[in-house]
Amino acid sequence: MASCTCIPILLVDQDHIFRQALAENLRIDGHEVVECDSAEEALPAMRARACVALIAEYAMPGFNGVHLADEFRAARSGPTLLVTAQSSGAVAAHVEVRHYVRLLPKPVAYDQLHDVLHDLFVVRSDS
Amino acid sequence: MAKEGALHSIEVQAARFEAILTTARDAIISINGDGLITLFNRAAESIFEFPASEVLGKNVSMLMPSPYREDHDRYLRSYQETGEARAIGRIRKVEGQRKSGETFPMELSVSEVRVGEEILYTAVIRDMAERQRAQAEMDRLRLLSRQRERLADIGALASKIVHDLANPLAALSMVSQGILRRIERAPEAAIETVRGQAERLVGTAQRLDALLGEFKDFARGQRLDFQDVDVAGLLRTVEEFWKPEAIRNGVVLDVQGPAEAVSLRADAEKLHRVFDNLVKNALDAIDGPGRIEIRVEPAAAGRVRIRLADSGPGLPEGVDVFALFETTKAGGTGLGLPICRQILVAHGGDISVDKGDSAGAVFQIDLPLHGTPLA
Repeated sequence: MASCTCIPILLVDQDHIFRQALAENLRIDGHEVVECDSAEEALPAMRARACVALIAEYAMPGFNGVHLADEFRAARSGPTLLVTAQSSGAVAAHVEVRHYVRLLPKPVAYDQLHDVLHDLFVVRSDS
Repeated sequence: MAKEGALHSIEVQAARFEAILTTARDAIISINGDGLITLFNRAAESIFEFPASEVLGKNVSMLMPSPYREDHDRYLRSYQETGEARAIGRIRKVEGQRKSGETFPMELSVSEVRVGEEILYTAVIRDMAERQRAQAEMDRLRLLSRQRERLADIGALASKIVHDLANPLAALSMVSQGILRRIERAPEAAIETVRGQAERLVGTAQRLDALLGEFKDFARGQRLDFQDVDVAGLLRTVEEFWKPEAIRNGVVLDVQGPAEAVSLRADAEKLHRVFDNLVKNALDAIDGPGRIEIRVEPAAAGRVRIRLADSGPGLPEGVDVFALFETTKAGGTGLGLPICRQILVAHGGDISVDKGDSAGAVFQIDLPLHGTPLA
């Protein structure tokens, strides 16, 4: 697993068990994690808290993860990792055109997620 | 002049007859009393693949496969002697034989006419082979279409199962990974944290089990255990079960039974499940203070109608909540209401939904009082 500067992360997923478990894993690695269970909760949080990366579920009621990624990009210039069980071509197409977004399918191995986050953060730092 | 007029009339009649023979799509074949072909129209040439010149004056049995071919002369003689008709005056389904030897199904109607001393038998014949081919093709396409629909349904179901299972599996997996990483980093300190995470694992497994249960329920269909069910008693049970949660949510659960005792033949446990589903959906939809009303309404003779109305936001336009996998709830399977409908239809009843007068959704359940299980 790649080593990573500890970063404040905004984590948005309405599945509270998955979200809490992922937050737990990120905190083990020393990251600060701000948890939200909906896009409605996440939007003010991304403006109020200085998170530098977003991890979110794609399929959220009323506001999908790609829209949230766009908002985060506008608010924080930060990258987004979408982790989702939705695997349609339409989702991949949405993500492809955004260099600041990556997509991982659920279930996901934490080490893989951490490596992608690291790459995304390094890419983001360089761009 | 009169003679010329009569001749002209005969010519006109003949021309008309010729036109009919030529343009008819069915074969028209006449035979004399000896069974010899005296008329063979254009359609007959096409159907039997013989030019008229090859059949005129020949025995009509040449157009028949065995055993009709061998029996025809005998049938003709028998009719002429006894007057007992086998084909005359009725439409029969028989087989014909083309010049190529191919046999084909045909519909045959035969009439008899006397012209002076001569008896003529005229058959109108329809080639059924093409119609049967077209019917077979339609049946094949229909079957193919049904198979494709079933495959699409199976595909949709498989996709739904994959999606719905992936989320709880992802939670199980992430919790498990957290436990392992805690233990690796600080084994002694891990115990209390791991306990909490293990409890979450159990909860997630239960969630998966409930999910699988819904799919199993739907796949199994509804076998009903019929008994006499008092409608007022059923609704009272539903009210008692859900009142505590309604109160916690600030929702008024107002249930009124029928004015007079109503008993129906039904599976009480399954009906309870229908109401559980509707009340739970209503509570989820209201999400805060509000109202749920359950009433028994006048219905047609031999039936009972129960209405459930909530003060929630109502259903989105264009959504068929009884369709498989349609859900307005995040994490919903979209099977709850289809299962409700399945239960009610199995009772000989049904359920429908409409907008409330001011807001919310109104579900109407219609049930026969003397239900019998569907086969």
